[in-house]
Amino acid sequence: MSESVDIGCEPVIAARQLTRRYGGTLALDGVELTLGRGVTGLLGPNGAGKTTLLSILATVAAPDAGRLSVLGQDPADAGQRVEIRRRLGYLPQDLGFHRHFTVAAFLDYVAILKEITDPRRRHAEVARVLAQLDLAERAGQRIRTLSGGLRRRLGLAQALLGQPELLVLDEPVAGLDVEQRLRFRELISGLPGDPVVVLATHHADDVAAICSSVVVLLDGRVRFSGTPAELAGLAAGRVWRAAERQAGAELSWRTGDGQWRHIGHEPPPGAAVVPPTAEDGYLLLSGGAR
Amino acid sequence: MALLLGRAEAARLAASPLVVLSFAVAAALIWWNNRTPLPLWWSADITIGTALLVPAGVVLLACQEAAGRPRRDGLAPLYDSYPVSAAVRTGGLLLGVLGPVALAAGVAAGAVIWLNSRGAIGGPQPAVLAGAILLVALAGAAGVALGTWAPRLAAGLLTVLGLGAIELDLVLTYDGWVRPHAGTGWLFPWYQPGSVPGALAGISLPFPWVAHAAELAALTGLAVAAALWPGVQRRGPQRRGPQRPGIQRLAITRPGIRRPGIQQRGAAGRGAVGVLAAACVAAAGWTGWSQTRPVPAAEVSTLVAQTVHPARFEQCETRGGVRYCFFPAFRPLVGTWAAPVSAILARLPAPPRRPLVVRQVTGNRYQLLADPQFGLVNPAPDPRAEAVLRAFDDQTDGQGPPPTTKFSPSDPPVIDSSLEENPGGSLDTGGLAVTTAYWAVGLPTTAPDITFSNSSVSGTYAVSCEPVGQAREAIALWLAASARPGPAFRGELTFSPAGADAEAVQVSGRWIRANYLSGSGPSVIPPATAEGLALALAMLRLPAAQVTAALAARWPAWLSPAATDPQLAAALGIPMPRTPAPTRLMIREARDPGGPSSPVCP
Repeated sequence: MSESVDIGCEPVIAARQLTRRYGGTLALDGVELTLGRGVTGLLGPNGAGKTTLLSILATVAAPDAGRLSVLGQDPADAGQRVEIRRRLGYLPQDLGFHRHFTVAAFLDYVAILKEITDPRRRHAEVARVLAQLDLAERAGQRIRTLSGGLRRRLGLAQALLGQPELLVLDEPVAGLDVEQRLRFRELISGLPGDPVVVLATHHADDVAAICSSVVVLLDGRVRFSGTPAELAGLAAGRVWRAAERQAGAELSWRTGDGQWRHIGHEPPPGAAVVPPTAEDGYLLLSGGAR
Repeated sequence: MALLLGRAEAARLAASPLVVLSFAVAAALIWWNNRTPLPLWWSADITIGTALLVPAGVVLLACQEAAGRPRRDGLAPLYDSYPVSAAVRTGGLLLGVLGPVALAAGVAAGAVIWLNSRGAIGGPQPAVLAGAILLVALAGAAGVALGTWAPRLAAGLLTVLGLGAIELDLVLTYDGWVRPHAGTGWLFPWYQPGSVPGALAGISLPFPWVAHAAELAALTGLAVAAALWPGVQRRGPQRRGPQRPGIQRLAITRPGIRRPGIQQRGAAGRGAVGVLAAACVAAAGWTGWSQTRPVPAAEVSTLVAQTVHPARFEQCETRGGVRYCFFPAFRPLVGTWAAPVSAILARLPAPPRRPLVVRQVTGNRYQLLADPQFGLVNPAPDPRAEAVLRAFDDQTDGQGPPPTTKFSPSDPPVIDSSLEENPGGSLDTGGLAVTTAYWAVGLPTTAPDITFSNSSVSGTYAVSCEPVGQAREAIALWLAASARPGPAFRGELTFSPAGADAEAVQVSGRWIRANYLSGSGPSVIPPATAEGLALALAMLRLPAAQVTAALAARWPAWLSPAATDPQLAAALGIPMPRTPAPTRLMIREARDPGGPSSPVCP
């Protein structure tokens, strides 16, 4: 594990000693990070600093200390910050909506805020993201009538407007049903132009499914940065399968076939080692399997 | 970019059902306030502004809602991630106000076209209309500013309710809930100075509409500055993140952050907005101060001169041998006046020996006193208007024509334009017709002032004479009624002499039954005697040719005070109608019961 890991050969985001406090709480504690192209998953428990880090990457919050480069621009500079924003799509964790807007009107308004000035291009872009998020039939529907999952998709739609080079998505699949989560994976995997995607999630399986790299943030510090396979590798030899529950196991649960899956440092009697997943690695790393 | 956003916001505002409804209400109010047959521009334009107060309130709410939308809906962090800055977004919102402003201009323009098509007298004052439209602009800008600082809808609602309560008091002029000091009325967004301008025929008091429109413009600029200030003040991304209860934000230095560009641009923006705010504060202060200043003496002198010496300001034109003199704005009405006058003259068996001049006069003093803003009703009269009244009194004292001391049959008819728009809303050309007919038969049309005192009353009274028993009164009433056929005037003449509308009038010490006819003012038409009225009604039932022939046969004799009603009835071949004497109740309720008795017309 390293707190400063280069991922990819062409760094798009480079953070050095990023620090951010909220009163007496240290939300980010000298974060070192270098991200290249591809999809990066940001894992961490609640309060680990994921949302703070993403809001800084999205230029809506500033670090108290440290340096940051996004898409080769310095967000501390007003002009360069605007340049980043022109190439950015952002989905905050807690996204409100103008409840009385229709879906299409909201996206059209956001498109203006994203400087898509040509009406024809704007309308085409709105139509594109509506189709991409399967919202075309709800274009004329008022947002207040949408379910939570549909609103989340609308949030994703606004982030995708303008085909941004950098997508910062905070909990993009929260509230989505299984089918929509899978569609989200499909969507992210099929984005044109090879954009940089940074997404925070609690779903390690999503990270394993679509991310080329994963960063684990714990207590405001980067505790792991690597590929999902490397994250899973952290649990290699420490995940077992057995017929009985073993009281000494650090974490165990019964799976659908009646067998018990154990994660820990000591194998239970009669257990067989099974291949670990990224989730297993994350659980071990975050202390969930202590 | 701000233009594009402005267009989007303008379209949203203009399409808002509440905003559209408020403009419909404004249009309805304009119609309601100007539905009289004779709209007068010097009051109509003010009612347009008053009506636009309704959409102004709604636009303030709508703009506050729009400006506070991102914060209220939890979208502020998302908006901050877009390349369009907060200042530009606010600029777009402010430009969006142009949507409702365009609607306001449309309503005002529509009102102008509608009122002009109805022959409204005079013309709209551009400063009043500009102020009316600026009301909506100010409300929109204030709404954006309010929403920028206080996004909660309650802030907008409370503002509109507070201002609305004040405006109701300022517009309705009567004792209301809020009672702002009358001297500061002009400092609020809209002030409707009673009915003064509407009642003054063609003569507007020097109300400071230009200064008021300038004040509204300055306040709009100030609201724009207040709205833009938070946007230009922000130096970059905010230290915003997950909010946790109990965690206080502390000011922390950022040693590793360089942002010279932000500081330079922010300073320039703040400077520009600061200069705008300072200029607008100065302009609002100056224009506000100027609105509370006394009316310049020269303007009051002009007002006095218009009243005392109308001929200096009037235009004259001749139609059908009659000269009509009028305040310029009333030119369109000359035809209305000429119709009954010409018809009466055409029915005369012989042309009048004197040329007829119909002159328009106005009764400013009366209207000033009658207006609530000027002290009789309003418990807190406008000190500025009171000063005008005092100056008016001082300057008119001794300037007017000498008081009439005798009955003069040669006085020409006058049109008291302050009564052109009577409470019923119909044109009072009936008064002109009766006055002209009285003049044509040689009856006095003025009332001399006499000094009178007894044990109960004393003072100077304008006393009209009564043509008791004289045939020329019935002839005059017949001429007036037949020359001006119409439901309004016939309504006056179809009063039954024995009906409840009859009154008791004291003539040379005895009480007679009489009816007050329409038309009064400087041209005092005496109440028609019941006998004269009854005979005139009988004449109206005869063929006009028969009456004309009977009159033509002895025309000079009929004009004599000695020719009686019974003689005229006999000449027409009809019995003299019987009329009852006044009742005791009538006598008890008579006007000025202890006052001077009217003489018989000489």
